[in-house]
Amino acid sequence: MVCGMMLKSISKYLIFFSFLLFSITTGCNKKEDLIHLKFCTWGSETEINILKPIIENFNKENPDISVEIMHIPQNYFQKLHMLVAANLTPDVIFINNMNLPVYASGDILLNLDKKLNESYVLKEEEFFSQSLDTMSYKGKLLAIPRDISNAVIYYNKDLYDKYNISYPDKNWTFEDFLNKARKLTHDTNNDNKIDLFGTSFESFFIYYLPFAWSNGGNLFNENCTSFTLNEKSACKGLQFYSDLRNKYHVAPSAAEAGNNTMAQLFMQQRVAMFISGRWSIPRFRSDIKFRWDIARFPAGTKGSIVGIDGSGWAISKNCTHPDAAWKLIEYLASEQSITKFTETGLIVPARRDVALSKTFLNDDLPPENADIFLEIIENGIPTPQIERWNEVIDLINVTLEPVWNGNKEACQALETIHDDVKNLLE
Amino acid sequence: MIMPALLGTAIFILIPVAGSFFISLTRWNLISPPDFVGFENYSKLLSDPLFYHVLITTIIYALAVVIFSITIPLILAVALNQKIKGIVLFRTAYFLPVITPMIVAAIVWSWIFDPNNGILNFMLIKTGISTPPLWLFDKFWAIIAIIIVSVWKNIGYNMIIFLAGLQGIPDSLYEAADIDGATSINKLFHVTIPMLTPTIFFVCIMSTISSFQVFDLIYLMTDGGPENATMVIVYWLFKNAFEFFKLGYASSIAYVLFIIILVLTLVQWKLRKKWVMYE
Repeated sequence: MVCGMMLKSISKYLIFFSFLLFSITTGCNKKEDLIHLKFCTWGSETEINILKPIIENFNKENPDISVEIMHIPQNYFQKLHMLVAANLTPDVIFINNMNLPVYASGDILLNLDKKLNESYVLKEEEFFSQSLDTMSYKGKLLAIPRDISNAVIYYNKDLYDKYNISYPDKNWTFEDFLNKARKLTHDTNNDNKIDLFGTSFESFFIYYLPFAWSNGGNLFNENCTSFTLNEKSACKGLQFYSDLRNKYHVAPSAAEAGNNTMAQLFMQQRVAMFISGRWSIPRFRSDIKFRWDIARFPAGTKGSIVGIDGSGWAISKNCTHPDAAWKLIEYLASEQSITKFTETGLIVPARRDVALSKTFLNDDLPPENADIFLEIIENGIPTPQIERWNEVIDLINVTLEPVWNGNKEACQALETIHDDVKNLLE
Repeated sequence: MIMPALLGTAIFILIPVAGSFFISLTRWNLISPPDFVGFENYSKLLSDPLFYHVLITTIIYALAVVIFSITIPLILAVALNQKIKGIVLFRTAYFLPVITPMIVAAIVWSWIFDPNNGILNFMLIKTGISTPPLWLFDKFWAIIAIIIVSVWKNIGYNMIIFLAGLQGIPDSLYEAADIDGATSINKLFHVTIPMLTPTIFFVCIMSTISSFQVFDLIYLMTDGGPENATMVIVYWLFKNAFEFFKLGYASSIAYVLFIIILVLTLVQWKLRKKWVMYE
């Protein structure tokens, strides 16, 4: 009883204080006719330095709109989630395909199909259809894509030449990949420890799933109701990836890599091939002295198949000026702005015109075969869109950890979580 | 007069505590409206094998940390409770880890533990151990590495508390013991330690509570890995709440943790009569 009364009087105070806060915050924003938009985004310092002038220009060209960048460099989706929960959802949200389903099923994003159809600035056919798919959920377009991410094999040409190995060709297979990796693996100072590994090894899903896909496997069945990574073709592919490290020892173990990232090891010429995406390029261009290029992911029994991920801009349903927010997105996704994002080498643009331009297929800067990033989009498999993605992929990662450490067989390990994953998919 | 203080407590403690209990009865991802599910989260938690793994890991961690961060500081405090030159320097040295920010400590220690370039394994190899542990990359050694860092961080603080306790022991007791012909070992076990038991009790309770709540070191050094070997209860709670956005489940973990700590503290409180000396 006493407790209840206390709570009652406390809640009175709370209501009073929230009114006070409310009146303070709304009071500040009362500049006549100026539309304020909050735009939240992640990104490194270089990325933000590209974005800032674009936003400044937009503000200049649209004197009735004022866009404020909310830059969240770390734990982006955790902070975004809190903003949504607190009903402070930013008007324009930079988002990726893995996190789209949560916000889509929470019904906080505006459907952009109509806006794109009616737009005079953006045309649907200007984008890769796969990239529009990554930004859609259950058939509804919820964000306008900026980029596509996929995986390729970076390789050190100098090391290939040094050991007289032919460069990877278009049709190289898992076997060729292993053979080349074997020839590249060396103990250069004869201390019985390998100092140069054939290939990198990372246990992030975008690096291991291509081994399952290319071998004819898949993560889930077609409508994402059942787990299929434990099926023979899929887990055999994953076992091959694990064997690279544990059986053939052409990739470093976690302990052998220690606190170094795989990108660092590649730059230090301690791994000769590096499975990664486009985002490695700005750093490689500025910091690498040796010659390097990219190759397709090697082909398994079903060809060379890697994933497709992407990020883009969405509008919050809470946004009071969706037309102004759409105008901002049109500006951000225009050929001119996407070209600026592409110039540093950081992204594979979602726009065809920029992807086929000199900006992306730059002849003067490595990689020579930049068009591979575009060729592999056709066969790519988009990361499945499920609401509990974080939980599912965490469970799979934890289950695969002993496989990557060579203590378990992939098929056997994945069999044990088949039902658990199925439950999470429901 | 106490209203402002009470208001702070209410807003930042009482209401969230009550609120999180209600959340623990729901299924909620913060975005979609919450579903009331009664005690489903609790029954799911108690039948989750991972929960027992996490609990055992936490207990092993807490037990080791409590034991070592009482015994080592106690020995150091007795050793440093003397009037010799330069003693302040030693005390400061042992206190330094306490004021070192956790993020710095965690990064430096993960370099120390690095199996290839780390100084620890470099020294172990020099002393003739040909295959030193892989520390943070090994299922067995990872939690031990975390325990080492925690104890290292706690030593200084507990040592200062013990020093204060030691300086509160009246000299007359030692004089009386001298007259009775006690050796220094006798004095340690029959005067110093009994007189210090209230302080030991305090340190014991505080260390138990704080080690059940360990989070930062795990977050910074291992992310709960390898193979969940360092997955402790609060890090698991954090993962459920802010990576999987299972607020209901995470809140039920929080309540179970609260009950565990409450029971442990009550047990310690009851047992104190058996060993704590009050004048």
